Amino acid sequence: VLLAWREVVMSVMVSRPVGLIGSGDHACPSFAAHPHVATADPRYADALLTMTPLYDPAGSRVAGDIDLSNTRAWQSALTAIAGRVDEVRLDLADLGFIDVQGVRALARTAAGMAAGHRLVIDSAPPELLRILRLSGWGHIANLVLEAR
Amino acid sequence: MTETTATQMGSRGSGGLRHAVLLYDCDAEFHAAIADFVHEGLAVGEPVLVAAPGRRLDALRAALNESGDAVTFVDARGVGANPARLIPAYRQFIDDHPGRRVRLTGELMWTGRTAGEVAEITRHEALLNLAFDGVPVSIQCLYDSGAVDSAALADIERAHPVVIRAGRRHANEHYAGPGLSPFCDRPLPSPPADCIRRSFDDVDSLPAVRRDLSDRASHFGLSKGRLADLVTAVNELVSNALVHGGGRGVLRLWRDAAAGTVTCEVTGPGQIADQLAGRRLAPVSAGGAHGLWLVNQLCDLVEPRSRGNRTTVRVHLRLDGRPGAAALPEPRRR
Repeated sequence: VLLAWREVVMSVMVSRPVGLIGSGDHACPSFAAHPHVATADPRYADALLTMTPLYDPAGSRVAGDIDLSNTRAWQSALTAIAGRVDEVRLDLADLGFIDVQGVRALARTAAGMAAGHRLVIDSAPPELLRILRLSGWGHIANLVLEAR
Repeated sequence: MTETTATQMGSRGSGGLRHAVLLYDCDAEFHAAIADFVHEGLAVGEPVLVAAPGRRLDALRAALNESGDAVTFVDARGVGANPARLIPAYRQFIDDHPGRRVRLTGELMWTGRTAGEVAEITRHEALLNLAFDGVPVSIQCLYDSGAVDSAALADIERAHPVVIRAGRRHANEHYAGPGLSPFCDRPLPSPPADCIRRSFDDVDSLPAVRRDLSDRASHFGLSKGRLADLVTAVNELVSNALVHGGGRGVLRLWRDAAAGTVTCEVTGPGQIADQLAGRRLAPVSAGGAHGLWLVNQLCDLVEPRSRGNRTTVRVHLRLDGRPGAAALPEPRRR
């Protein structure tokens, strides 16, 4: 078994750790050399939020609202994706609302990535950019913003 | 009390906060006081931040232009419009100069400040003593003794351990001590009887609360960006009430035509135990504690009040305001 599979698909249960497809990079020596071999499968859906996978570069299309009801699931999903590949792209064109904890989850995920890895945020709504600017979290080195 | 004793009291030993209010009678006294305070700091290598409103700031900048980069000028109408933003801004300035005593001076009042804003300035002054207790910072706050309402000025004085009047510095026998006291935590005026009222009781009511708020407030004439600020801010307040307040509360919304604001308040069970809540930017790794901070950044005035086991946070957004708050200039990277 090349990959130490953990859990399979992201759980819609907020309280459970989010599942991963693939392994942590320490478990698989070939992973770093072939970043696109293992791809996160960030499927998530609840009443407010839908995350569908993007491939090459790996990432997620995020639609709906992120608030108190799903912050933990959002953070878990981000952690899972960011643990998989060295560049993650989030398409936020259909993001309707995000609260400060949701933005903090983005910043925290980026801050936790290895040097040189990138969390690319595509089409961030102005409200999210405003929170990143006011908090200074937008300066986190691994966080890359691409305008809506 | 002698002048020497007063100075010693103001300095709290050698290393900590020195916080004085200077009451001036005329513009010449105002300018001279600021120039003296700045030059004293520069002489001993202390970085100085000067905050004043608009044109007042321009005049100070022109008068002090030989000081170069050693003085940072901040428009008080930006960062200080909501006084609750000042402590985090000062904190940033202090953090930008590690290991050094810094100086902060200026004026937070201008014509048109509302009574609510003045009350929050008083609260800010009282909280400075708590926020920077033991921190090597010298703060000299200037107020026009003729222009500020005398009852409000008496409250402001009580928030300062040292008073400087007519060039004489003395320990303030009416100083109330660090943190909140009744004089800087007075009850808010009641909301208008015809305000929009909405209760919430569950995390699942958040989307509907946001939608209703946005629909109702859009008729009040807020710009799109400001409407988004309001929704973001009130969502944080409702979330706080749900998390800390036992899961239920009431939201009220109205337009204050006289003040030119859209005002919203969220009331729920529970107390804000930390007097400095919302006045420090917690690190990204810290859970919680960012909501009230963001509310302070986005709103033009924020009035938090805990009474018994009940908390109300009232926020005001000016109809003519710009989206997002003004922040300190980017720190110079050293």
